[in-house]
Amino acid sequence: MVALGDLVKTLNAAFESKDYESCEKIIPAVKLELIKNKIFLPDFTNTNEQYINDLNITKRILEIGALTNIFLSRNEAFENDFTQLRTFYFCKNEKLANSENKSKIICLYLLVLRSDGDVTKFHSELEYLDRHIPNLEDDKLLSYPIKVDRWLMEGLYQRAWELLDAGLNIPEFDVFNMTLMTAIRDEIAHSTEMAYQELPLSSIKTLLFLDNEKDVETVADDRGWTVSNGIVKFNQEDEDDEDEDDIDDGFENDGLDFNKTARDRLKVIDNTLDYAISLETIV
Amino acid sequence: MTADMMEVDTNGDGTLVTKYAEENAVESILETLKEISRATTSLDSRHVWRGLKDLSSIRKSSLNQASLAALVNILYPDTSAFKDPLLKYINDNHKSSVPNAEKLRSEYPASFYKITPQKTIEVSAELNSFFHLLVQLYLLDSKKFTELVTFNTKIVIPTILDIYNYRSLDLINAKLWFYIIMGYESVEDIANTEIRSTMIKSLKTASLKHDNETKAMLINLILRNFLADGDVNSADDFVRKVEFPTTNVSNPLEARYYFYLSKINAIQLDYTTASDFVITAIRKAPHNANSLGFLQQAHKLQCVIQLLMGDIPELSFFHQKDMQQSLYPYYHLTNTVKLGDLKKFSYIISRFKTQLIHDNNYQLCVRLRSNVIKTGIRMISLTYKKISLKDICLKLRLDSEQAAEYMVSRSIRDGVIEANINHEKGYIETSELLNVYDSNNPQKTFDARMQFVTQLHDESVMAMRYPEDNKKTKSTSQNNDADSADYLDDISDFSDIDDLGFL
Repeated sequence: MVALGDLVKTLNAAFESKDYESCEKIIPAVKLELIKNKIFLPDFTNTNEQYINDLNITKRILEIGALTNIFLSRNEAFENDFTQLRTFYFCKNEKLANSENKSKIICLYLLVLRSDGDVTKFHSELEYLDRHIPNLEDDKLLSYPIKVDRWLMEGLYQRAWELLDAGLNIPEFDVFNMTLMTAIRDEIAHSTEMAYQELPLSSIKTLLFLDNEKDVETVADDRGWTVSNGIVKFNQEDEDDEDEDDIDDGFENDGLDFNKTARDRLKVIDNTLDYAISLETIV
Repeated sequence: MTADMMEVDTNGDGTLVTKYAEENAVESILETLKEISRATTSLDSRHVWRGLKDLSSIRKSSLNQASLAALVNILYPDTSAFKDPLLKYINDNHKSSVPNAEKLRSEYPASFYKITPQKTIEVSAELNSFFHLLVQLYLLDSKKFTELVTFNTKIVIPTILDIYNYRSLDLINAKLWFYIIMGYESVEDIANTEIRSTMIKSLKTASLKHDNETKAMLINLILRNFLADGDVNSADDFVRKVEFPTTNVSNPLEARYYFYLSKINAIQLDYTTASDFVITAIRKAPHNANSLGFLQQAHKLQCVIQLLMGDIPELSFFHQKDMQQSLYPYYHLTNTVKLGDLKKFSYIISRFKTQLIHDNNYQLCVRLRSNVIKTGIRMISLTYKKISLKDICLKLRLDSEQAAEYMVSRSIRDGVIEANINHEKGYIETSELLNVYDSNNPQKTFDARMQFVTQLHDESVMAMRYPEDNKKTKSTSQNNDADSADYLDDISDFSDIDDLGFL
């Protein structure tokens, strides 16, 4: 128990002084001690006050771990931490369920899901939260990811961007904003290449919220856009080809019109024969 | 005459008329018990079907404290371990006994009883289970919900469900489980995690024994439990892991299963699959007065899914019989989506918020916002060949032209409209629409439909029941008729819970 106490103290100190690297090193050791003391996985049938207090410490340590992972941009590790915290946050014991960091961490989790593009999980989680937290949309922190998601879905990128730009004055969010902004930029770029045939560099710059045209060129290179004379051309032909392939139902497009129509005719004949056979069996 | 005497004892100051009525009640329950006990000897679960078919009429006419107590006293020998607990729950701890019970008991067929390893006589497993089901129904109907829950946890699960091991009990067990959960829901304890783990354990046993009806019932109840908790991820994982039985399962259970699948898929944004499932659910569900609750919920979900997919349900969809009232909020919702009016949409959402939350569709409906905008843009793009961003902005009441530009580009990306944006001059131009009949698409759709029809035909042919023995054609065909009648009646009973807000 002494070892655990000391470890927790060092961890707290390291976290306060924003020394996340060392936090990360201490946490596995602390978790190990917690498991040894059997307070890592909560047993909610035990209502002993001392035990509950111990669990609160466990929760605090998990929270530190989760926030550390955010600062170090380790999303997967954060998701693991969150899964563990979830059992605490949504248990029936009021003392355990409440925490000053609760909204913040849930909100961060939603943002992580959203920026990873894991919309399925995002909405499943939302459904769960909706059941367990009343007035979800009125909570300042929790409504934040919901709004971002909504505006992204609708294509109101500008508002989403403004919201992110304004931020919430919470350090964890600032760390995270960069990732989210890139995610938004990707979304915009994706829409843009479908919607325009060509665009001057300067317009793309404003559209993508970039600072200078140099950045635009990098983005253009990444996405395979052709730049000439300050005008970006989007390669829409590739997509058209794909569409045509779809219509052909997987047949290779060998470019010979004659073959294609002949094949179509054969297919129609084949199908009609099939229908005739099925009709025959029925009658 | 003997029956008269026992009634006198249980209901001492009753008048002659009630005595007679109760005698009838006991007799009618006894008839059903005889039918079920036939399953003990013949090992044919059809007799259980038939017995369960009587359940709704028993429930309506004969299920009351006096008749149940009298029946327990007569049916169960004094040595039976079940007698006292049953009487306790039926009679609220009042003592009661029937004279001549021994004598009456000796008149019952031998198949009612079995001999335990301790050489005592006990009521047979089928009858005992069925009787517990009756008690569950009685407690439920007389609104003794807390008693029902304790009865379930203290008696039904440990002494009936966990002990007996007969295939013929499959159908009864499924019902017992159903009313166990009903008990929890009646006391507003829907998302109970303890019962969930008990159910998962029982599911394991049911799968091993191939008790398909029980298995299907448990899968449904577990899914329901997950969804009530909002734990969609776990529900999804669960669905991936289990295999829903396809044979020997009644249609209502399948319908319910598909409904839950549809809900999960809708929440996970897989609208096409969700739509397929909800349509299957509606098709499979019985269409009668008792299943109305289920159908209403299913139609609500179907409406939301259709809207989310960008389709507008037909007006006749909202004017179906018995649906108008419950679909009312959805009708207004559809209207706003159709008009593409954001302001009205927000108003409707806030106006019907409580109802939507009650239907568990709120989060799905909120997602419709983007659809509203898209229909708005779509309408404009269909009307104008060329329109400036500024005009769009005014028409949709947006903040800025830039916002309009982003939204239009998003719609183009999602395939809502076919258009190009001209950035410098600030307008969008609709591309020439492809004539569908130039492509092979109609042919393909036609083919898909034909295949569906032939497949449906093949499946129905396979699903038909044929007489097993040609020599007895006549008698079996009669049996068949009786069976299908059972089937229908049982359906109505299964879904009677919907009246009580089971969904």
